[in-house]
Amino acid sequence: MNCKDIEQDILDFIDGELATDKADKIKKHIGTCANCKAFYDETVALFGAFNKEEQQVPSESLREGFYKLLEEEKQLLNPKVVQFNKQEKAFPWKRAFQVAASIIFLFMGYFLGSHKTGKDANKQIIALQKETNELKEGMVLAMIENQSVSKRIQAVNYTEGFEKPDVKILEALIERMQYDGNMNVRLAAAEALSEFPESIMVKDAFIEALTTQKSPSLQIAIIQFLVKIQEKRAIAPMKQLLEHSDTPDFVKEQVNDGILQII
Amino acid sequence: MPNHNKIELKKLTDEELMLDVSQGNLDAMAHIFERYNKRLYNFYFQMVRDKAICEDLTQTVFYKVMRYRESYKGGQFVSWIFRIARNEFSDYYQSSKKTSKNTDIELVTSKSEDSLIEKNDNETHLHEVLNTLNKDERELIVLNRFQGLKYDKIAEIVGSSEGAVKVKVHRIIKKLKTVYFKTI
Ligand SMILES: [Zn+2]
Repeated sequence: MNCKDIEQDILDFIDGELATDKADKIKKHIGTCANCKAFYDETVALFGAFNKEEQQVPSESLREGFYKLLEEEKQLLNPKVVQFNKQEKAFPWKRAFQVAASIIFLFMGYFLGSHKTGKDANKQIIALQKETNELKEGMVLAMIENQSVSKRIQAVNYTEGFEKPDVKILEALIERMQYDGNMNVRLAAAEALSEFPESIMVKDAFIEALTTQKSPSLQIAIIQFLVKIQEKRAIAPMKQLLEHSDTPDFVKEQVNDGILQII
Repeated sequence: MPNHNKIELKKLTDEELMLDVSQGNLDAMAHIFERYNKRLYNFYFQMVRDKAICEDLTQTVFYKVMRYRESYKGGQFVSWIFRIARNEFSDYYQSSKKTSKNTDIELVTSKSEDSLIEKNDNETHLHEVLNTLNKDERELIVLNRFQGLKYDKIAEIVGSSEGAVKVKVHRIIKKLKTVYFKTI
């Protein structure tokens, strides 16, 4: 066993990963070779410094945050579960939405119950619906700028309820997808926007995002949308992605696949 | 296999728990959090010594695990979750490089006052030495020496081969020793 071999195996030796006979040979060599002994001693000293590093303990807010996210995710999975013990310290957005939604039912009942002609009642219901939507949209717009990541995601997710959202809502979502500092918000916004494939504004935004967004998961969401709507204008920027050296292989695969489906 | 009760869940391996989560038993996610939150937090802390950033990144990993649970198809869980953690770090690193051109963008120099930890001199010296590594080198050392992951797992995480990881780790440790003993 020469010095080169020792250098190769010294880490495994220190970690106790070697078979006894091999470890014995190294021990013997270190005993006689000053160079390898020094090499060994230095490595042990460095690892000693590593081992002295203290484990850090995250603050309790990490756990709190996690369990909150978990509850939200469970709600998504099973929306029927009603929570009684949830304390809303900040403005109760969820409640506000429920109230907005219930107003319309109340009034619908009123109009249907009254003796107005169907046509008249219909008109008023439509007017009310419009008002309720505006109310919801206003709330989303206020909330989408919130400092908290989970609030912004919530705001983005609320837009799923809009059948034909206002331009302002689409603009706000596009801004989130393009510029939000948090990757999850950008992704949630992309998912929400993909519900509106007819909008030219949305299509343009996705094409632009394809060249500006660098996060692989977002790139994939964008590609999938553009492929689904058969957007021919996406082919050129998609081909560009293939040229970039920093595009991960699995994104490239998605691109290649997508191009085939569009053309 | 949903509907495990709590005691049973505790006995499951990481992989079994995650498969359970992927099939919609979100409660199993709590066990994954309890098993891994400190570990991921410390992984990030060795990369960026800033508590707020580390908590944020750790939180995001669990969010992603939960959100994209269906993409888990079995396989080493520790490699899978660290792959997510590492991607998350890359995203953070890229965006911090872009947004803070005028301030320090070095990995460990983000110093919001209250989130810095008091250290004795010896540790500070080690940190200075670690700061001489680039992001990828530092990541390998953190995974291998602080997280105690073997070369084959690291290879899965970073998408490389066991042999290549071993060679790199050896090279980095050699480099670290030179700096460590030159300046001690
Ligand atoms: Zn020797």
